[in-house]
Amino acid sequence: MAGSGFLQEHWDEIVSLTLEHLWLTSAAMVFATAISIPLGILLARWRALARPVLGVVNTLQTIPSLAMFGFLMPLPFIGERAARIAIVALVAYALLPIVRNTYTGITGVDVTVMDVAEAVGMTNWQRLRKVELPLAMPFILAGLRTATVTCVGIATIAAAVGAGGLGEFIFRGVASVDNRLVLAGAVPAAMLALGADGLLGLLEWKLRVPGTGRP
Amino acid sequence: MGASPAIEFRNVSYRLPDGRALLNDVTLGVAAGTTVALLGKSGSGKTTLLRTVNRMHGVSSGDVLVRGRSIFEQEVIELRRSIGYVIQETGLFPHFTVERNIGLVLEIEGKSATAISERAHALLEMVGLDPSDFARRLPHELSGGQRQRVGLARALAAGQDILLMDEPFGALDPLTRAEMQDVLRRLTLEVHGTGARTSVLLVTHDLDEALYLAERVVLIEDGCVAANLPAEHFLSSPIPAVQAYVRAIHRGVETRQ
Repeated sequence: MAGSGFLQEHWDEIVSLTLEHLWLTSAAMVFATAISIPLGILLARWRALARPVLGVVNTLQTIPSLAMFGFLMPLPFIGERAARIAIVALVAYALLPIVRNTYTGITGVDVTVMDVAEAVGMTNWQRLRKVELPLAMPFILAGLRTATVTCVGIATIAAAVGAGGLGEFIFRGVASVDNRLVLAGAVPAAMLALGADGLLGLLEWKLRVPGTGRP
Repeated sequence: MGASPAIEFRNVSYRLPDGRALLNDVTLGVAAGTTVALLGKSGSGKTTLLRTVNRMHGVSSGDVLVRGRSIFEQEVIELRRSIGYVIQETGLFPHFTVERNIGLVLEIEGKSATAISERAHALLEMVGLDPSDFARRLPHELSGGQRQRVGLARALAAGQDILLMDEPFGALDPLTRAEMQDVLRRLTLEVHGTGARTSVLLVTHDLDEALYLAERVVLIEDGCVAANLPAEHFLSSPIPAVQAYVRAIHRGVETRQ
C-alpha cells in the first residue's frame, strides 16, 4: 500500500518532529505558567491593575502569529535562534488564558469564605495557599488547557522561521501539493493537542471542589 | 484575667468619609464569662461594632480593649486567632473536611495532625455530631444545622475564651435554632474544661434569643447604645426604644390568644 510505504519512509522524521514539537510547546508552557500564575495572583491582589494588564495581554493575542514571528526575528538574543523566537511567541499567546483564569478563579472565591479566612487569623500567605489557590485551581487548570491547545496549534507555524516541529511537514506538503505530508504534520499535532487537553482535563476533574457550584 | 472585662468598647465611633456615623460614641463591656447580646434593626451598626473587636472593621475614634489591652497594641493575627468567630453563613471552607475545618486555627498555628484530629473529634462530640460519621465529610454534605454546629466547634477549637457571633442561627428553622442555642450554652460552659465560661458577644435581631442566651441585652439604634440592661429587666424597661422592640414581637400570638 502506498500509504504504509509513506509512513515507513517518514516514520523517523514524524517521531523526531513530534518530539521537537512537544519540546517547543512544553518549554513555552513552562515559561508561560511561571509568568502567568504569579501575574494572575498579583492582579487579584491589586485589582486596579487588572484591566490595563489584561488589556495588554489581550492585545498580544490579537497579533497574527506569522507577524509575531517576524517581529521577534530582528531582536537581539531572542532572534538569534529559531527555537527562541518560537518559544517567546508561544509564551505570548499562552499568557492570556492562564492570567485571566487565575485572576477570575481567585477573585471568584466566595467572599464569606475569604472573610472567615481573615477573621480566624490566617496570614496573607496562608489565605493564598490554603484557600484561594485550591479553590481557584479548576479555573487555573482550565486556563492551562486552553493555553496548551493554542500553543500546540501555533507551534506548527514556528516552522516558518525554521524552528522545526510538525509544521515542517505541513509547509513542505503545502509547497509540494502533497496532502500526505500535510497530514503527517497535522494528525500528530491534533493528537498532541487532544492528549494534552485530555490529561489536563482529568487533572481538573480530580481537583474540582464538590458542592461549590463551580466547575 | 481578674476583673478586667473580656471586651470593652470605649467611646467607639466610626464615621464614613461623608461624615455619616455608623457607630457613635459606643461604650459598653462584656464581663468575663458572660454573654452580651447586641440587639437592633438591620443597619443599626451592631455587626460593624462586633467586627471592630477582631479588627475586621476599623474605628475612627475611641478604643476597644480585649482582655484588658487595647486591640491596636496587639498583633492582629494573634488577636484574631484568640477570638472565636461565628457568622450566619458559617463560611466553612468547601474544600476542607469537617475535621480540617474545625482544626483550622490549630493548623495555621502549626499544631501536629494527630493533636488536631483528636481535638476535632472531641469537639464534634461536644456539638452532638458523631465523629465517625462526620469527620471526613465535606461541608456540602451537611444540613444547615450541622454546618452551624461545625462552625461553632471551629470557633472554639483552639481554646478561644472569647466568641464573636453574628446572627449565628438566623438562617435556621425555629426548632433547629432552639437546639443550637442549647448547644451554644453547653459549649460555652464545657469547652475549656476549666470551669471558666466563654465570653460571648452575640449579634441578633431575635429578642427571644437575646433573652435566652445573654446576661445583658444592649439595644443599638443608629450606631448608638439606646439601652444596656440586664436581661431580666429588659421586658419591663420603660425606655421607649425598648418598648417598641418588645411590642414588635409576639404580635401574632397575642392577636390569636
